[in-house]
Amino acid sequence: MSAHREKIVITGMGALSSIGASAQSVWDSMREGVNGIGPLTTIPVDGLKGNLGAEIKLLPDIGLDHRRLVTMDRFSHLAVLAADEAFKQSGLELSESQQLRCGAIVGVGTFGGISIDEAYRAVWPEGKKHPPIFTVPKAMPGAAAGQVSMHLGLKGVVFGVSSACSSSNHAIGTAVDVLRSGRADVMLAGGADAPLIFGVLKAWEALRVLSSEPCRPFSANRAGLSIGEGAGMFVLETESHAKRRGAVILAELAGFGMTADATDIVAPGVDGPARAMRVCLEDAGLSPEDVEYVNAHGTATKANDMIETQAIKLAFGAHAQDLSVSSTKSMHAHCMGASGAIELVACIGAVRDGVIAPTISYQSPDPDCDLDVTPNFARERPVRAAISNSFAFGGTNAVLCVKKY
Amino acid sequence: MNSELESGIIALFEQHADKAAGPISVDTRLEKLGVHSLELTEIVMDIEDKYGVEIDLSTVDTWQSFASVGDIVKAVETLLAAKV
Repeated sequence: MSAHREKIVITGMGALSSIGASAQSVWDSMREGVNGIGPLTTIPVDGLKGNLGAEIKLLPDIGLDHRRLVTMDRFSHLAVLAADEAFKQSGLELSESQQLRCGAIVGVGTFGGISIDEAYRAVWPEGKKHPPIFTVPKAMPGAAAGQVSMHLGLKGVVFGVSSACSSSNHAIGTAVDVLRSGRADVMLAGGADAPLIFGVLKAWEALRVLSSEPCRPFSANRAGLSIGEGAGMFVLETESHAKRRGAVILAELAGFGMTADATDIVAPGVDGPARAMRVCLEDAGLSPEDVEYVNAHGTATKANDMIETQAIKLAFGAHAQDLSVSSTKSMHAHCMGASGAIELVACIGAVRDGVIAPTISYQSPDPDCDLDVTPNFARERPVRAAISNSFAFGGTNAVLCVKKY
Repeated sequence: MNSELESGIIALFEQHADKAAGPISVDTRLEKLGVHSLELTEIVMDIEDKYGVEIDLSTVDTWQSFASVGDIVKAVETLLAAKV
């Protein structure tokens, strides 16, 4: 890719998940290997086979107006909270003309499942004549981007992105393209999802991929995934824009790669993910040897972790054995469309602090997953560059690369 | 105005109104309730369900037709009287 292209940098981050209600607390928990997966206590679980999930017990109160709150499903609320944190960290203050050059792209893999459940309950078992009035604007996956724009006064490029479990990475990668193309000066990008609701969990249960205990990525006795909720949002801007305003630069968003398997709606392939990693490195202008850390998709299904291992080997060749790999989903669970954004916190932490977040709940080596998956404990290691993998149902793959700045 | 109807309708408003907006009476202006424009339509639908009447107005018409909580109570009273 072109060498003279302007760098895109990260100047703010915000995140919420079961292991922390701010980006810093999420990162602190990741370093410590905190397990955020446990019995669900904030939603009714009657009728569900399992009662495990990674839920955020209490959302921060940032004084959102009642008239705004009643229009939001939980996934939008999470997106707004994360965006608010990221925006405050960035130190941005936007004039009216600057607002026109700022935007938001928010990845959502599910939709407003809470609102849809409430609507169906109202009109069917409860026999009401009408579902709640905000059902449509709350449930639509694009709502999160709109709500973030309203909260922060972003009047430029604003839309939602949906590609199931790779939504966040597609959103962040697309925002990089928006900045590179000159369509905006600043983009808020990331993802949010709130899938811990009866209807959505029941649908996942039907797929028979949920683990009856907290998930164990890459472990030989792994038995499926755990589902979580959360959000991650980042302030991205061109390096020159960030420097002009004297912003603190957290890391460089050096590149991203997008590919598709084009084979099966649920079964993952090796070639598509491997190509996405290679395209990402090429976009970042890096060789495999320049990368120290891979934040894996690492869902803890038998198929994903084995195939992802093969894909990493295919993309990185002999250097794969020197990589530190981990799945932080072992702590915050699979937060669906928010996954890539929350996992970017681990990548930024790795390049900034030289710490690899672990894969916790790891019990036994699997010969099919024979990379260094950073079992159970964080590892100190200088990291120049890290990549974050997201592979989704639909065969859509998106990989981000961050470089130390 | 029928006081039972009045308190019943006020109770429905209270389920939506911003608590910070203070106590609700028939004199409360609709714009002082701190509700989103669409919430008023939802309150109207709740009233329709509770009293078996139909206030067939769009969201915009509802805001333009009624100024206070009392206006809505009066409208329901009229509709109920017409049913008898």
